[in-house]
Amino acid sequence: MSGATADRTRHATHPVDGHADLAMTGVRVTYGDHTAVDDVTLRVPTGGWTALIGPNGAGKTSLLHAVSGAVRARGTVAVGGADLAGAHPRRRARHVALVPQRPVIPEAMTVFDYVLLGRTAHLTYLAVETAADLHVVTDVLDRLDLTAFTGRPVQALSGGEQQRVVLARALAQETPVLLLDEPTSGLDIGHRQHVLDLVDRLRRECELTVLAAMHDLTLAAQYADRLVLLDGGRVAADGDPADVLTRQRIADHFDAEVHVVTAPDGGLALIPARTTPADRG
Amino acid sequence: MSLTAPHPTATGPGGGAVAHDAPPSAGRPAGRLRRGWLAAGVVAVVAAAVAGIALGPVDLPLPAVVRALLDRLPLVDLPSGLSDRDLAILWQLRVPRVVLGLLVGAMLATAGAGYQGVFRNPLADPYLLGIAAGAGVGATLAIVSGVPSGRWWIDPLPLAAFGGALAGVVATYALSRSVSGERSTVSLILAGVAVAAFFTAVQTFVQMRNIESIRSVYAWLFGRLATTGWNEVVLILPYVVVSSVVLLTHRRLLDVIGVGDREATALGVPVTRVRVVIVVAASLGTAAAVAVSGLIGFVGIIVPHTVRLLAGWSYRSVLPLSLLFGGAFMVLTDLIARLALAPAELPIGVVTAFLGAPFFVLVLRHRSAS
Repeated sequence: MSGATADRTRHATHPVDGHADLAMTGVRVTYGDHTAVDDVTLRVPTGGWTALIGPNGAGKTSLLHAVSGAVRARGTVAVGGADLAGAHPRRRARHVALVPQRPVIPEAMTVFDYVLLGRTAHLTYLAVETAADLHVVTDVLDRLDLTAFTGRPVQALSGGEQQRVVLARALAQETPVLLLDEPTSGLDIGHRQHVLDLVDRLRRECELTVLAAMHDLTLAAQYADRLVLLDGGRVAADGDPADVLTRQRIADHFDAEVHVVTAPDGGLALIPARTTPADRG
Repeated sequence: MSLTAPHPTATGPGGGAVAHDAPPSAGRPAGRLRRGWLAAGVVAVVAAAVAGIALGPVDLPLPAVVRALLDRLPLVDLPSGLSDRDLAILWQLRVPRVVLGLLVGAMLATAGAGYQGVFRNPLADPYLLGIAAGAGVGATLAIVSGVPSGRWWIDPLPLAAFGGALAGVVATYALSRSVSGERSTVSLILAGVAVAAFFTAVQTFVQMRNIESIRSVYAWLFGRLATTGWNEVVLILPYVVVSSVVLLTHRRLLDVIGVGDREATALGVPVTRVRVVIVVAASLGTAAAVAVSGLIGFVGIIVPHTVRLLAGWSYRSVLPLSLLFGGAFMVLTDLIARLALAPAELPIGVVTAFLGAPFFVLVLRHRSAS
């Protein structure tokens, strides 16, 4: 258990080791007869930000759940070369942390206690948290400007604040890989930027490997260094945002008419094109 | 009970873990067992026990009772002044009855809290989930089959009740899952009602087929708290201790499971294993309680919910405080059962149902509102 002890005493801001590549091979998720993820093989390099894009039901959430162990899956998942397929949930949760799209937040649970749940992976079955675990939580709360909310119930916070709290829980896990499921859903344009800027800052500070399902293609193109387009549970395209986001591909996979334009800062932006005449008399 | 003692982090992180000056609620977990509530629980147990021992058809003066109890402690010599007859009433009737009430109440309340945690269902209760009814069938089958109910550490009666209890909870859970797929408060309770009705029917059928042993079955079903001695205490003590220890040691994991199976798994908890361990432990304790006291409903709802309302949501406080207040609650309920229609005695299940049914409705209404 010396590894566990080392994990526990490691300071939250301490950079994780450089070998945090996330590798998926032949990942397959089925729910009864329905195949949600069909033989996906992907590799996310250490410190990279890969965005999973695709229409509703493409399998983005299922793939993230498969990597985090939240659902059973075939195939292999490895972080830094360590195979996590069939690993104990605790071992897996020391390698990958998940920020769910719609997290279950127990009634009356305070911000501190909620973030403390992130330490679960670092505790043996029946152990209780040590002062070091509490210190990690205090530190994460401080870095995410959540100290003022420490004793408040999570449910009493606004959407943007809750998103930061859930992110804080994932950071308290001190994993090299961060999985985000639609981290900006339900947030206004300002909070979307704030949350993604925050993830980007943490990614650089902590050398996190980020795999994020993202609905907003423009934001995905601006923040991720690579886009993976899923459709029907399979990888339909994979590459630089400029290569993946073409007008034709958006039409094929999203059934949407868009203009792909270059923003003044050089990034890509998608503008929905109206398909019905603008004036209705 | 070292398990109920506050953890070093209960009232603040030790060793100066939080460097900055934090407000009282900041920088430390809120969901911890507070020393004040622990003390309140101990006081409630002692007060209920003294009341349960002193009050009854035969009037025993309180100071003499206290002196007689203290006299039993090592190195204490306090003549109580009670007659031999009064001392016999005290030690052979009142004290074992109170001790048994403490054990049964503590067990039912802790088991109820455990079921509520793993099923994430505020209305889960040994009685409503068909567990008590299952235990009843198991015990009835053991009685009518004439298995000798000895007084060794392995008595067949609690084991048979345990088998029935497990059958009850598995049937209820499977039925509820097959009906609604995802977990739903209402479907679990409805499944529990169906399973309990079925088991009760089986039990009645078995009783009527074995009319010669019906008296012993009824004697077991009702009022066993009324005819108890030290034998019953010895019988269930190991089950209660093992079950309570297992449940209390899982208090942190029950908090994690509160975020749902998928998230809890992603956080590193082997959810299925925890669920099986908790259900087996709670059912074992429930079966032992049912085996000596018959069917007593609602304790597993009333006590954990009141504790939650007063001392917070976390199972780190709900479980140990349910243990203490459950015991105290049962002794006081038994007191009501003894005194309400004195010299006749009400079955204790009648009193808990009288208090518990309205409570159940309140919880259901609150649940629907939120």
